[in-house]
Amino acid sequence: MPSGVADKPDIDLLIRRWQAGDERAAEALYDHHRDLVFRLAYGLLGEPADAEEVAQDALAYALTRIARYDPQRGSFVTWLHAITVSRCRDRQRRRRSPSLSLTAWLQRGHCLPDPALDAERHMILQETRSDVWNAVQALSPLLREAILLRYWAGHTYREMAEILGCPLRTAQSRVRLAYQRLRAALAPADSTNRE
Amino acid sequence: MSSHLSDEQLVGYVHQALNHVQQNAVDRHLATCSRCRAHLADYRALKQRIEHSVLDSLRGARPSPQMTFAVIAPRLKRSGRFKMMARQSRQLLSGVVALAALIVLVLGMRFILKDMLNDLDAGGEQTDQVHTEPPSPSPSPSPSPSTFRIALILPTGSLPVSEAALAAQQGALLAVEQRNDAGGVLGLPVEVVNFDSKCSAEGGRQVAGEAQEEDLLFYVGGLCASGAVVVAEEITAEMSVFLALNAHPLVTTDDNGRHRRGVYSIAFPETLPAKAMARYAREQLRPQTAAILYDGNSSSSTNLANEFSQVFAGEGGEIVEMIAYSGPAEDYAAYLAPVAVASPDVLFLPTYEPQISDVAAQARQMGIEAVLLGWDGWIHVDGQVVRSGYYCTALTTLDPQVRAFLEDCAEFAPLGHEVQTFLETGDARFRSQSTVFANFAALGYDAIQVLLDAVEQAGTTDVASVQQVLLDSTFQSLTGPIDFDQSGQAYRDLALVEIKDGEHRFIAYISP
Repeated sequence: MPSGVADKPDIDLLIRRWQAGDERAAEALYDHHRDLVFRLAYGLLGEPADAEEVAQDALAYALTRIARYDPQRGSFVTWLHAITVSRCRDRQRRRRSPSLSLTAWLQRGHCLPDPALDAERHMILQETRSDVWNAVQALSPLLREAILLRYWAGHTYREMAEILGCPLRTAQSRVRLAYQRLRAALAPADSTNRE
Repeated sequence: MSSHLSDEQLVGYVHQALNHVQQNAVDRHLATCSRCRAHLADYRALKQRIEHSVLDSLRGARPSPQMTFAVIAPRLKRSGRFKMMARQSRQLLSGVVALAALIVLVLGMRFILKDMLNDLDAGGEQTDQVHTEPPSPSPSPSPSPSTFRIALILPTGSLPVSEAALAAQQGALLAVEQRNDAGGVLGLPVEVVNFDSKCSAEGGRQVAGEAQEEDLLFYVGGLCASGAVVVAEEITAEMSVFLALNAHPLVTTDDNGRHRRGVYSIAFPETLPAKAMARYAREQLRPQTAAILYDGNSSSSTNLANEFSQVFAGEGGEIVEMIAYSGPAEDYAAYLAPVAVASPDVLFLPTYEPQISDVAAQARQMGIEAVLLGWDGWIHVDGQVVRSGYYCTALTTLDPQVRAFLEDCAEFAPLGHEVQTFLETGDARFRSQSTVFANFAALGYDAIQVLLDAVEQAGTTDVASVQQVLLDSTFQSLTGPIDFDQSGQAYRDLALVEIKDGEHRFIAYISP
């Protein structure tokens, strides 16, 4: 499993303490998983502002419903990723509609200000846009989920099935298909493509 | 097997996505085939390249410094977890103190210890009950027969209604979350399946078909009348329940005026504010005479004017003038002149901004001192222009319980800048927009709650039983009781707002 994804040994203890109501444990859980959840959301959504909102929401959702977390069903990270994927799907559904203020709809003529990216975050965005990354972002959302959960998060297919809410074989076939799509997308610059 | 490994086999092998039999076959082939080994190396190299690139790309991605625990801490506090901790601490402390006292005092008083422990146990059980979660912990959207599924059909991707649709969606999903936190319905977790009706008849037909293919029986949605009518038609043909967010009569009734079985509108009829305003005026303000100035080009304005006239006269008042103008104008003096002569006690203006403010300002300039009366469209008016008046609307953010609802919405998902600013600062410039948002969010919220209440009351998910309960029972909306008449149309109390000294002031909910 790649660095930054594995549960540290004290995570279970932190969960139990938070389940008992210890706020400091909640903060520690948040701090430990913040970047992890943000990065998955960013990988799935491709926009830092959206990713941050979704990640914040996913973390708050998980922490307020810590009683629902059952270690027997899987690791805390798997559960957290399931929530993040679900929230990203919601965000993608919402995205299909351009934003328009309700007042404008009622012909009152206000506009909502667009949140601007600051310079530092803009740089990060530019840096991450490699050929491969662009190809990953061009995948359909389902295939992008599969490739990120497998390649970046290092989840097993069983964990992926749990996170994605699909059969294990479907998780496998999505990873295979995503790989084939990426290979096709990278083909002109890639000599590894098979004849 | 062919002479060389297929692309599928190599991709599957590289990704450890083959079963044992397949994997053994590939292993045996690779042991003897250098060409396929070379291909495999290429496949692995590409996989590694993608892996490294993805890892590198995401390693550099960091959230902004604003993404901190402090931002979500209030949400956690409101969830009650911190309170639970405090309660447990108190219980623990009281237990320790009592135990120490017990040891010091009388060893023989075992019954006290027993009582103390019983109390502690009871407290613990209570705490657990407060945080009892619905049986399914999985946030995955995959359907399951052990859930109660609702199709949420909204034009979330269609301008200009998408913003309203998203507000309704947010309200609906908030209701589902609250319900699930309270144990779901009939012990089942509630699951929403979202559909975009695209604000068209064709879109409505398509999503109704898709929802039916998924064997969904309970529907909430609408907003665009064209799509909602078609959904209603499709639903009626099947044995289902549809709570529409539209007040259009063709949603709940067919071309012959008959109730479409299983279809109910959570939105009140368009003319209800006019009826409520006329009744309130006669009963509380006691005016003898009324004038009406309305936009004859608008069917809504005309319907409201007619309803007000009918009810006001029916309650014993006299309509001294009823004047229509044709669309927005700059100068309403010619229309207002007869009103100035008649000098009515009240003047009903069932129009939109900026017409309301223009008419009001000119009326005041012409010396018309009648109390001005309005409807939903008045949430936007400038109180300084109207000076004194009343209007009825579904709900208003001037009502503290609506503000609390908005805060719940904000906790559930981020709100737009203007609504969020209003919540945080109370900035009056954003009040009307926040009220519009709250209206649509409340429609979605109430529709889900009413549907689930009906299922709960029916004690079964049997469609016919739920349909009957919807017609027979009174339900609780965010702002008061709600009933459906025999045509499936909702009737509910409306918020009465007074404009006084230039300010909008919420008075109470009144029954039309």
